[in-house]
Amino acid sequence: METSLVKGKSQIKGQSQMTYQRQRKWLGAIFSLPALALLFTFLVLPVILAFIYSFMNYNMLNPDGKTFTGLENYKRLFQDEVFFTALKNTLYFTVLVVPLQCSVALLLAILVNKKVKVASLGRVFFFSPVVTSMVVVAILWTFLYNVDNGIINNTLNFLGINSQPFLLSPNQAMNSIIFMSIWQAAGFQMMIFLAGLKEVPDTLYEAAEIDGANAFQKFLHVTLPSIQHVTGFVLIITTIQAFRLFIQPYVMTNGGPSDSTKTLVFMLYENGFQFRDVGYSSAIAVVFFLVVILVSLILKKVLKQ
Amino acid sequence: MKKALTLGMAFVLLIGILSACSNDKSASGDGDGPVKLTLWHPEGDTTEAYKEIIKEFNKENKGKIEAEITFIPRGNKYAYEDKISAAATSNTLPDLLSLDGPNVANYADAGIIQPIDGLIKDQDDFVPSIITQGTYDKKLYTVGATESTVALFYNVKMLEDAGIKPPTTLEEAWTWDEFYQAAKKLTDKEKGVYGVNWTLDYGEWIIYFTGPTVWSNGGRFISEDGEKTEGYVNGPKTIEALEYLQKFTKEGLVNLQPTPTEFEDGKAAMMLMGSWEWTKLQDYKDTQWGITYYPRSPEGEQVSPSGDWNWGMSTSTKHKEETATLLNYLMTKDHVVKLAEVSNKPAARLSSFEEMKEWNEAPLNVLKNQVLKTAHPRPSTTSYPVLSTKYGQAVQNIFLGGDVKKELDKVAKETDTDIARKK
Amino acid sequence: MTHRTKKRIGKIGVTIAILVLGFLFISPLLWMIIASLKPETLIFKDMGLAAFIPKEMTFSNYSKILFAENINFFHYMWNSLFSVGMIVLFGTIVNSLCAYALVRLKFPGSDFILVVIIALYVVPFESVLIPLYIVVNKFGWINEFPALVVPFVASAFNIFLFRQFFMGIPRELEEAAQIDGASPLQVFWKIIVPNSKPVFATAAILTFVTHWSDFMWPLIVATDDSIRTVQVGIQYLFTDNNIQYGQIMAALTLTTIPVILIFLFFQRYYVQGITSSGVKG
Repeated sequence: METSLVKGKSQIKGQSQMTYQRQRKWLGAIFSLPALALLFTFLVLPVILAFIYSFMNYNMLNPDGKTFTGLENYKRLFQDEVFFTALKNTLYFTVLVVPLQCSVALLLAILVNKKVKVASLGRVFFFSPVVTSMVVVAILWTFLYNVDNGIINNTLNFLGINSQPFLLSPNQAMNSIIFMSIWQAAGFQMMIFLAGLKEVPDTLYEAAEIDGANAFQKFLHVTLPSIQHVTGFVLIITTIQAFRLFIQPYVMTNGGPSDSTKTLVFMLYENGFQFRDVGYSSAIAVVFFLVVILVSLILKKVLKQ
Repeated sequence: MKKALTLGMAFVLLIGILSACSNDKSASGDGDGPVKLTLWHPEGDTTEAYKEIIKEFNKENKGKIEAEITFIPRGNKYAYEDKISAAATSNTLPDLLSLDGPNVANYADAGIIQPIDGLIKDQDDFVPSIITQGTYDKKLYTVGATESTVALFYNVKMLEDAGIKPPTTLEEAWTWDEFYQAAKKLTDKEKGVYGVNWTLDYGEWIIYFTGPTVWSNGGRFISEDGEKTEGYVNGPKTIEALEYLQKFTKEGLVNLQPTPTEFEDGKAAMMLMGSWEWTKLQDYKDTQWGITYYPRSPEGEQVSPSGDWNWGMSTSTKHKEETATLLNYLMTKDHVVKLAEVSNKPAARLSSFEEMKEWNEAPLNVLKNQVLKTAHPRPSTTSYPVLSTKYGQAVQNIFLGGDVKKELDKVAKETDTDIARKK
Repeated sequence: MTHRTKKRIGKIGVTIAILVLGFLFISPLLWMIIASLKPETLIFKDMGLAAFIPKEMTFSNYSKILFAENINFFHYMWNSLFSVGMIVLFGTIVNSLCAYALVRLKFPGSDFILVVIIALYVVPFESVLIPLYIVVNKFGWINEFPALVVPFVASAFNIFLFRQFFMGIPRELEEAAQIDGASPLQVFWKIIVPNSKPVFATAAILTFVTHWSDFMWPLIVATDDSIRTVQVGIQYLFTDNNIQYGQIMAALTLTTIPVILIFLFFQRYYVQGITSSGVKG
């Protein structure tokens, strides 16, 4: 491979490379066509429809009776107290969950990337919460969080700590959901980190060892820089996933108590499906979309620095 | 960029062609042969019974009508309703669809179900509450095979030990205060026993089980014409009723996070629960139980909740006559008996009730008496989903100690916004 | 302390950490499995720590699901495996090709497309559910298998994921192959794919997991018993009354097992990824 590489560099020049480049462009469009066509039909098109609906009074059960109402839905949205509560809750969840979940995931990935016998067992253990259905897992956790009889309070009592209200308290409900969400999803990010760690050449670690670096120094100076592109990716997708929080509050708290766990997607679902108000729900979706894009851009800026 | 545009246009074209094809496909269904009818029903206890009934129907109408029933899971909360909504957006509803009582107004108003006045045989034989439930804007839209109610279940031994005698006739039904005193007496915090158990499920349950307390006190959820909730759902009588219920949670007579089997496991002395619970209780041999009537407000009348799933005819059906034949077939006296028996619910036909002997004796006679004498429908309004959901969330907060008036004010505001939108 | 003992202590530490954390992660699921093995009447009698002591173990919850009269669990399982398998298979091909094109075969507008794709990942599924239903209905796919598969083959998440990893592969490897006369498709197949096995495995696993637990969409588009997926199939357990929690826990356990098996299968590509990786040189 080494030899052909050297030979090749001198061979590529002028005309032949130009045709090759032109051919590449052409092939690039072809290669990406299937995915782009599918995305357009099943995602872009629905998004455009949702955008149009956001300017309508549209009862889901009566599609023929929908009428254009201009900015009415948006006006209503910005006067809706629940919307600002939901926005605040969503941001709170995201700000806490993203750093916590990503750190846990990275820690788990580093652990199971070590050459120890239990590594593959660990991978299965950490990943199994991800594979279970969120709806049922959420029901399961309401039992675990039960005030009188739940396992968590039982354990706390055993350690000499008083029972906590968890899901029944406006102050603790969201934090309880955060804890549960990290448990459920950290394995997802762990897998991505793991794929990244696999690409870090062992030689780098060996070199660092020769320089006398300890484990933490190796982590800081070898691991982190080597998986930078993966970390950025994980942060962005975790942020987006965090913004989409819905099933946990839907099943565990119904957005309560006192709207303390009501999120934007919860509100979007509630208005769209339960209240069949497609127009208002679409307006929430549009604003949601803009908020997340904005946050992602900020995140990207911050990451670059 | 030009390429992308061409691509996009090609795709739009492709969709157009494909959609044209699919339209052809659906149109070609109207050939010769039997009329094909489709039915949707939530999956559950009645699944097997319905399958058998439809099979018989197809046999009897061989060559003329062929019905196909599909069972759809209700999932956790509203999966079935979401499915109906999606189908309504693109005219893919079945000929006959099952719907929960409170949805009648909503579906009728949106025009996805049509009136069935004059199409139902022996209409007078249905219990009045079923007809009330199926009526919107003075027209009958739905009928169903079964009814439901909420009553007070009690642990026989615990009440005996406390020297409390539960009422046995409707006339003697406990008043609010008698019920409260009993609950207080039965609560034993040291043993971890609660006076009453009531589920705090987030779906339709909350308005269903607290409704009678409000109505019994002379309160309402919405004005008579269904146009306004301000002053009704947050009116003084409604507030009073909820303050009464809040007393139970404030004083710890009710567990705010009960296990699903708290009463069955002997950790609660009484239970405000749906009529269906008695079948589950039979699995718990150690707990001896009885049923008594829903408590009433001191000055008010005796009421109980009602409502169940019923059948509505979709507006998009092309075979109104055959669909009516099928509906009548489902609702014959014998089939109502069959469906009521497999689901362990009170029957919705008076003649069917007479055949179900065990409903004439204690404890089930309590449920029967409530269905026949004290049943009260839930509010009939197109904005019911908003009212029910917001009210449920408000009551959840009230039980956790929230301010009754403030919480109900929010319900009124949100519901009235929705009513205005639908006009 | 010698270098070797230091390493050994490190290994023991890692082992202990994995086991302790592993237990914490798995314990809620253990609760679920033990509950699924109890008779319904005992599940909530001891919900707390005492729940971990198995009592009156029974497989009746499992047999009730597997041999239920009204549902065909195995058939639903097959439908799920088939539809999700299709998404994974076609999805991996289509998305990786697209990502490769966006990274290495740039064409006019490709950078813009990438931004759009990342933005599309933001869209919550709940907000496009109804419009998507309308589109799929136009194709005439309601109650047909394509409705469960085709809309999810292309995935913004996967394209983004592949792109991120393809960027890390040294260009020299490709250039060498090009000079040997390989076409871009050959380069992709012979250089990119073998060098990114861990990413392909990750994409496959994550796609599988995401769609395995899908519930809302299959429910809405696949009413027919013949194409019902397992997540929809087991929902009959949530009836309006008398919810059988033991059976729900059993069903959840049963639906989790295939995913764990698939996970174990793909996991070996992680190990392979190290040994055959050309990146290491």
